[in-house]
Amino acid sequence: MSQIDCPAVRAQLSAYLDGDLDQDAAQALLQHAQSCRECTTFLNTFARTVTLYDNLPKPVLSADAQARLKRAVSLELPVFAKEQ
Amino acid sequence: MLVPDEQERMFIERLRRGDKSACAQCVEMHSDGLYRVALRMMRDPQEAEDVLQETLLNAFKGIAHFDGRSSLKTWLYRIAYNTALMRLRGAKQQRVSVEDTLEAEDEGGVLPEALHDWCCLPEREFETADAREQLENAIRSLPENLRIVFVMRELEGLSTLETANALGVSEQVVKVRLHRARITLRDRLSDYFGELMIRHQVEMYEPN
Repeated sequence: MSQIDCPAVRAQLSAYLDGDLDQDAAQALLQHAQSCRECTTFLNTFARTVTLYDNLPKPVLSADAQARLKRAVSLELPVFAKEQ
Repeated sequence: MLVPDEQERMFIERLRRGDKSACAQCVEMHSDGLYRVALRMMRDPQEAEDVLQETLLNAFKGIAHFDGRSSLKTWLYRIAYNTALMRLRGAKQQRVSVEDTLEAEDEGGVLPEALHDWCCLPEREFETADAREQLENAIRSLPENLRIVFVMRELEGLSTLETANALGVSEQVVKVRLHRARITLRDRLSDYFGELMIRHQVEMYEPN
């Protein structure tokens, strides 16, 4: 199995997390990380960063704003129905 | 997931005819996601709302020109992105050129010096208002081209292909930018959470 260095590990972390690495490449990455404390830390904090953002609450449009939007759309509807 | 092309084609047909309920349904389906993308770009709820409205009106007006090469959703995100971008560029010509130079920046092999493994801090440390603020600030500090990819891919859950189509770039570019965005965010968050980690370790050894 090929060996990779620290910059290569870090360059491939997204591909690794997103399942874009083939089995050999993923194994090479993990093998390096197991013997390198800094890359383990980097991998852990990188993965944590991704999950923190995945769990971020999602703001939604207020009911008022959505009503305003629908009103604006329905006002314009006859106009663009004619244009087509 | 099943993507019924035929169903979408019929839905678009209704939009083309100016069908009121189809338009309302389209607003309901897409306004939250489009609003969040606009909000991340404009950084102001009122501006984001304006972008959203302009996006939907332009979409309905231009639906005759929608060629169906991408999904309706992707097309809407593309319009929202362009609408927001035009407003931003109109408002701040300067900032765009600064960000373009950041794009060319080489991230090279420079490794950060001291690293603290803050991933396993107690869960409550990630849930404070302060932590939330750090997460938001970190996104805000991303250059625009990385931020939009991160928002569409990571926060809105668009696929690599959908994001690529919405932004008019290749899938490879989306992957590279997503990775750069995550690396940058990790670095930013490490300043804050790394500091917390040190404090935690000190407290463990020096109980009151």
